[in-house]
Amino acid sequence: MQALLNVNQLCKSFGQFHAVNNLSFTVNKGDVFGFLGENGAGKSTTIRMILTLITQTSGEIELFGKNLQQNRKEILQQVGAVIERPDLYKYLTAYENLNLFAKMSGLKLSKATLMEQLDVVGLADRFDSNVKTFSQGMKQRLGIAVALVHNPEFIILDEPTNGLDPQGIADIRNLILKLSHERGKTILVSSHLLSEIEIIANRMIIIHKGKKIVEGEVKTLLDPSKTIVSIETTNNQFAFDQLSQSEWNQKLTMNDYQIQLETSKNDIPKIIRFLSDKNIDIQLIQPRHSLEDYFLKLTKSEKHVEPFTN
Amino acid sequence: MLSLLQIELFKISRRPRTYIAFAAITAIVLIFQFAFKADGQSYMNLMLQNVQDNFELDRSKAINGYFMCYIILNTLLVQVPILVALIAGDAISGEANMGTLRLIMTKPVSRTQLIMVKFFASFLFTVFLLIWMAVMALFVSLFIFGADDMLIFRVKGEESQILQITKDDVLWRYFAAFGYAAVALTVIASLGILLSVFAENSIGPIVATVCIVIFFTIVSNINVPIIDKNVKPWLFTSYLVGWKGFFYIGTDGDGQPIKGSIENWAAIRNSLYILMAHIVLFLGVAIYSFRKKDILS
Repeated sequence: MQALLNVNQLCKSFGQFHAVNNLSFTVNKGDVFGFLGENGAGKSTTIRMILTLITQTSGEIELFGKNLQQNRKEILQQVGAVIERPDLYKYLTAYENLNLFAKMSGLKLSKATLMEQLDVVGLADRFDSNVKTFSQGMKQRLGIAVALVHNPEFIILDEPTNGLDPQGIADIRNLILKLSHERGKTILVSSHLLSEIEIIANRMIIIHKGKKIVEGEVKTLLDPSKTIVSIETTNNQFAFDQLSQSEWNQKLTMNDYQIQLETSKNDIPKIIRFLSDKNIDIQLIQPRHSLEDYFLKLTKSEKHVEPFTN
Repeated sequence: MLSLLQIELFKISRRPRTYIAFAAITAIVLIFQFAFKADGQSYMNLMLQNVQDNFELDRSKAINGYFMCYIILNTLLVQVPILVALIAGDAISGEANMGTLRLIMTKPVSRTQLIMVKFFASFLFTVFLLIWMAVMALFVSLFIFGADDMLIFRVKGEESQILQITKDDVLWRYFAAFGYAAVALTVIASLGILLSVFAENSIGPIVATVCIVIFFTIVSNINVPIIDKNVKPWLFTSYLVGWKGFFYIGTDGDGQPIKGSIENWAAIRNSLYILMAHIVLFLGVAIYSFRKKDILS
């Protein structure tokens, strides 16, 4: 695979605080790359360095095989980005905003082309409405249209579903998949939700306190053979005793509310049948990948967490 | 660069606050014109009370369009820096506040380019403001009051003077004065842009620019020799009213005015150099600081 973005030993400090610490990763051409971490993990800081909004303390960033600092203008012509909130000129219409940022990218696009761009994000019918009348989801979609207006090869979306309702989240998710599958764009999406990255990304990295925890293929990292299954029954103690004598007794635990065991996702129907055969009524059964479990530990605990091993 | 400037001017033109300055100038000028049309003679009597005995003139012609424009500019050019600060102080900080600064900076636009575009846009705004002032204060006044020889009341040292400029020798002085005012107000614009680099909301740099102008203006008006010699030459506000120099007509050995002359061109020229040096300084620091700045808004 051809590397499109190469981040090498990147560091950023604000005084004594190390926001990004020796971070290295690679985004390949055609990837939908998930950039995962809890709030404050250093995702936005890293993205801002990739977009030259802030200067790194040390380390190197290469985009399209070129040094970012030395070829900033040339590189940014091929990059589109939405960083956190999609803030646009509220006193201008959707069309005017799009036209203005197209011109800023050095393009003079026809009205038809701009309307086509608005159509891609489902805003063609609101082209002449002022942005101040838009919902958060509409602003987010317009922000994406602005990021795409100059047809960039690489798109960076920083927490694109923040503050959106379920329909808005689904719309953005579909748009990302469409851009990747139909237009062949390389996309870096940051999020603090593993479930979101799991759906859209083919590769991912998890960072914590500015450091890389794990990087790789999503399907490898989220291998279904490493699934943690949470079970709630009408009689947890009895269910636990039965499971202790079964093939799933190796990584079996119980707390006040739930039984947890680690197994393959494919075993879940067998577990349900096993418990039903023992006349145990299941109230809840919830599969969760061990990486998700690990990520939850990271985000919920300030205590030391051992490195993740797949 | 030209395309970016067009974008900037488009944004300025679409913001309601832009028109506050034009509305304020229109209102103030109209009030002046109404007041002088209704009771201008009282003002003229007050101004001439010390020189009535040794100065002959037709008072009905003394209040004319040229005289009105001078009176209006004398008052208005002190307030206009506030209007310029409204736009310039918002230049970068306003974008940071709206969140659009980070979006602009993800486009292939350099930071130096952005500052320069903001500067030229503020400069053009200042020029448009002055053109509007010229239309309202000069041409509308000429329409209402007519054209005639112009009287200038001046205090030089401890002496009160009245200078008379013939009507065919006035217009070019106004064009020169407006040109000078454009340079002077551009200093305010570049100061506003400089301060806006360091802030993430517009109020701070606008208020700071206005406060600096007011503070320096007050210091510039303290007539104590030690301040005259050691402080005033370093304050840009000391040179903001240099436009008046174009109306101080040169005189010959007999004290007769020389048509087309200026009493002290060298002082005006030096003032212009100092103002331009301030523009370069403020702009240079703004570019340097902005290039180093982490955009966290």
